[in-house]
Amino acid sequence: MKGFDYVSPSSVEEATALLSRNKGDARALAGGTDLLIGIMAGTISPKLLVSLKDIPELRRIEKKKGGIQIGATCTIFEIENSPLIKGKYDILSQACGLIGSFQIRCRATIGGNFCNASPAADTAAPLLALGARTVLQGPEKEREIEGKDFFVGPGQTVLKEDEIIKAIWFPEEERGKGVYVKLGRRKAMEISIVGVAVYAIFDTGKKIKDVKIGLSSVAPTPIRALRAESLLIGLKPDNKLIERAAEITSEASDPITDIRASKEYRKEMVKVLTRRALADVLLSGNP
Amino acid sequence: MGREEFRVIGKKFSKVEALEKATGYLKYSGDFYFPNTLHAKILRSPYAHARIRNIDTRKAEKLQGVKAVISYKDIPKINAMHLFLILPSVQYFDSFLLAEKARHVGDRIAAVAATRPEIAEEALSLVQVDYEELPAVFDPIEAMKSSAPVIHDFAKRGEKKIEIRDNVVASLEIEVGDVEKGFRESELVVENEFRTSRPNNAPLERMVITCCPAPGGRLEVYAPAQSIHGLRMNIAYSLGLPPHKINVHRIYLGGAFGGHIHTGFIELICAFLALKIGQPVRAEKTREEMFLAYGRHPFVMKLRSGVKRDGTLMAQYVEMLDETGAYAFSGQSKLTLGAGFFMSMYRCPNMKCVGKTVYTNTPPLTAMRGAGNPQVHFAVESQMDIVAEKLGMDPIALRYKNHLREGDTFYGQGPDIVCKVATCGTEELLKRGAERIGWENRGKLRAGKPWLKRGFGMARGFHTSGAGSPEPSKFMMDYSGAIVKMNEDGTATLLTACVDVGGGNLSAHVAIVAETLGLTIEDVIISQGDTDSTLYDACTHASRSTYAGGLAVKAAAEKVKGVLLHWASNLLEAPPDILEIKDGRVYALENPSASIDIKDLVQTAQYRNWGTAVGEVSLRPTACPPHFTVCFAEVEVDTETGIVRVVRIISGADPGTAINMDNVKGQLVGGFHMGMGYALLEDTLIDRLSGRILNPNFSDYKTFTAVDMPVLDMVVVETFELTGPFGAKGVGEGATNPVAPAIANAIYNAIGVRFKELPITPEKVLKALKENQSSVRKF
Amino acid sequence: MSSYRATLDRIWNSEWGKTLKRKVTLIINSESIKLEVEPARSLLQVIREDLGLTGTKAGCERGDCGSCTVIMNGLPVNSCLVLAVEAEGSEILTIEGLSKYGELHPLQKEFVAQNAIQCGFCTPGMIMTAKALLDHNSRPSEEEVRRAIAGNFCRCTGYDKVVKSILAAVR
Repeated sequence: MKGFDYVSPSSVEEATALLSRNKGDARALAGGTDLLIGIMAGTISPKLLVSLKDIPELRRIEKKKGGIQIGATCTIFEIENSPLIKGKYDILSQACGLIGSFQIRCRATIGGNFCNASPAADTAAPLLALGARTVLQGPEKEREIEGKDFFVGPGQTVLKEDEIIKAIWFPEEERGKGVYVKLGRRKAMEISIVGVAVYAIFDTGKKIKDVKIGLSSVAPTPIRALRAESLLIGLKPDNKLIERAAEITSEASDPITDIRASKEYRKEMVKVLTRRALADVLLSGNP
Repeated sequence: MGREEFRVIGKKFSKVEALEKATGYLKYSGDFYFPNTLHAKILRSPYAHARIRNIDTRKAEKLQGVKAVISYKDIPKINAMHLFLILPSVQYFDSFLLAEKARHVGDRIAAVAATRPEIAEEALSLVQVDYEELPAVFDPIEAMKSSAPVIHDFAKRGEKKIEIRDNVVASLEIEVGDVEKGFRESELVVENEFRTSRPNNAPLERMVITCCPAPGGRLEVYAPAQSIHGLRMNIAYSLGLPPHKINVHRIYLGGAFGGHIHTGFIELICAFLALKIGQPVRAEKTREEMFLAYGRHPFVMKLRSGVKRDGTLMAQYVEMLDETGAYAFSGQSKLTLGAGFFMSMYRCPNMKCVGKTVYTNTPPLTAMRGAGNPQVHFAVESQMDIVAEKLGMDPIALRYKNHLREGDTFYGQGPDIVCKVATCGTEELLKRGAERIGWENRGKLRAGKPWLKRGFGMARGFHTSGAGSPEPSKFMMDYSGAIVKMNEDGTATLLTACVDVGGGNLSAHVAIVAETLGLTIEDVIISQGDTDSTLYDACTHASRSTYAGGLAVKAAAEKVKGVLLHWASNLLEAPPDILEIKDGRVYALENPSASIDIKDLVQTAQYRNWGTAVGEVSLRPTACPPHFTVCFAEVEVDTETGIVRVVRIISGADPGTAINMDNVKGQLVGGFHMGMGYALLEDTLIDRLSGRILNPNFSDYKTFTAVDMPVLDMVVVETFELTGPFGAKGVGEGATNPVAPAIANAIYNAIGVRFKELPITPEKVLKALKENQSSVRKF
Repeated sequence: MSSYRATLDRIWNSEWGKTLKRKVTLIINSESIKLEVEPARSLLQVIREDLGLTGTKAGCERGDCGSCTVIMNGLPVNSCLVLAVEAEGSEILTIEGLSKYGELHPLQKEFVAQNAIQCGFCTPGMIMTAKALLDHNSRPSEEEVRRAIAGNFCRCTGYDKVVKSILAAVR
């Protein structure tokens, strides 16, 4: 790796001040599993790394403001196994379990996964389906951005050079059920070809009160399939409806051809996986 | 001696170096560090085909910490030798240490040695190269057109210059019987074209070579090599030095799978730099560079088969196109091997193979587990299933009818290396494989969901055990040596040049010595050795090291046994021919109480100044007995995503005597893993515009993980190969050969689509299903 | 601040003799070790090159193969993707630290006894990952073992005996 300087502040204020003072030359470091690869490849060339490892407030998972707040430097392994996430929000726990390897999960962080902003980020589709918001902190102020608006393009987010993600927050839901389906050529160590997350809330009459569909790897950013969602809301789910929703979801996707898959295949797989995910969540018995 | 009488052979024992590996103690090539070592890096061409108009190294030389910068101007104008294993008089020579013209993306243009790797990297960026980009060709069929760019103007075979026309390095035509007649007499003729892919050997070890020069021009070399003597000769020849100046140390390899049979460029460049500068030089490949060298030759095979209605094979004809990349490291050997293996697949009175080895502007390829045989197996075993279906015959029955068996002619390493099959466990393997998988359920399999389809498939195969033959080969060296001596405490030391790349051959050799001398495994020590101290060993390749290497080891141990019996006869006052060794003692056959402990015997011999009991042998095997294998596969195809999942595998082998059953089974599973990757997943992707490798890392070059493996059942049928040490043959490469066709045949059984191109990807499956418009069920 | 920027630029312009080193304390195999390292050096490089512990291997340096796996504060990590400075104050266990005074860890015993080791290059990483698994989950299922070692690439064994050895070590 090309040389750089390194500092590990003990507060968010210090961290953002350092990023501000060294604007353009500094990058925040969390788990490093994406950042260090980029530095080694020469695609990222920071002169200063600001490590977030010694800032305790970024490392908590807690109930807050009617939702679950996950600190940005919580590792994927911690999230996967957190008693607040596992079970009730299996859609997220499951997705975390599908990231990389045991070793990667113990270092990679939710903040890093979001900041790296790969269209294939595995935590993105489930969190979008959970209605997540990102909490960003700059040297002057804090701001909240809705999950789907955080991503701007492949590798690009709304994050300013002197900002860090502080946390990801999503509302608590008692009667929700969700699933994340990841398509890859092998069952582990994969960057997804297509990722589909479905999270639904039923009302007492077995009708769909709310459903969110998150997609990754099929657009420049992780996206929501809003038209398909609105088709489903308020109705009782059946095969025909699900099939139609899957088709619309596929139409909403805008994948590219790369070394992993062609865009035609991805578009087709959006339909297949969305149908299976919707069937799994909506038809196999309420929570 | 019957197998049941063995004390060590066939019993459970741990590999001799397992403890050192389990504790992290054992040193691989990258773990040797020497003081004052410089680091070498190679400047690589960004273009697939380019003339070098000018190269200016002055700025790079001035960088602090840089000790040398070399380009084509600075190297000996001797063609580089890559494959001292093949006789130099028939080897192909088409390269120099550094390229005078770039022939693939990544071709070596210059090299730097500096005090730190980072400085060497920076120096590379300061070398100024003026390239003239030339048109490039990446497809072997395109490369043979008269309009294609010329990659090599000429090459040499031995000392003789040869013209390269249409980028064809070598051609081959060989016929047994009369195929035209055979096809006329056939009642069914089937023809298909098969294409295989470009998998990478992908050993986990990233190779490092360290060359330490001594005053007077001697060089100590530490590098992964499947033959230390081969590496020595390749370095010596390429640098114009006498071989005795180079001493290559034997070390354990972190996998190779054929990739280190030949000597690449980095070894030669490193040696040159070390001698030039007079300081140790270390050259380490990045994982990206590991993808730039090594890989299985892609084959295009047009296969025509003729049979009688009862399934008897009458004629087989194949046109083989062998792609070798930008340099012919293996010369024409993959073509020759492919032809020989093709003729050894089945008994068939009329066989013909016509082939060409072609250059393309892609990174040069090497041997990879099977060397021509996996490609041939894919074509022939797929075709056999096609023929069986057309005849309305069970695929296994067709194999029973035609398989190569005892008494048949076998070509171990091309048409030049021939022997007669003496042991063959194929029928037993087929029988047990069919039983274990439940072959009678074929066509009646159920899967859990409407869009899932299951199928059974099988394939049979083989690989050679070495390159021995009654007459010495005219193109390949194939002898091994061993030195065994008794230590004065009654243990033995074994010294060979044979390299263990992971298969456990050295442990097998230890078992052979132990069995011969009545010792335990723990009582036989391996001395690591180097080219100075060891006898020539051709190479650990062609699944030969247990068989051929073992023969030399056994013979050397027998010599030592002779000395021990002679000594014992003096002490026991009995003639040597009624003495035997067993369980650590020498005893008289008729009177077991007249005996002496080996330890006491050796010590007594020492104190009486009788000398050291030693045996040395240099031996060429006169046979290459094939080891036979089978693979039965159950697959599940998701007809909506095209993903193929291998559910269950029966993998079977006849390795002769299994010296260590765990190691045999380990080869079967490992060989299967590679075969499954070959069938479904692995491929080096090359950009068709730039010639760049698109997936030179383990994220994008995918191999199957522990989670992807199917349920595995292994069947080992032990025949007793009389020509082999304690009845043993090889097993390493046969383990992988039948896997890809077995999976392809199973996919056909599941969804009725025949794939003739590897790898069988989900997109290809889905596309074929849509075109067939069959088996796609709506949810 | 301008002199600091100048420092950054100097580092950046790779004047290697003047690169800023940082002090770091690592607890390697229960031994506290003080080092001065350049921030860009990975834990893997420090373990192998500065401390001479070559049991941990460098297979890809991208976190793809797991041959560099060590246990850091009880969790398995790819040491190629951990900066040495990030490991400040951490407890690191390498393969060399697993056996004490010649007494092998049960995982090592099983790997040897079951012949789960072919070329052996993946073995240290496999064993460290397996130990981390067993420390978290003392009775894993076969599925859980396979999942845990999914990030450890093996080209020789096909994983079969490796999984069996880990399950045998559980008992």
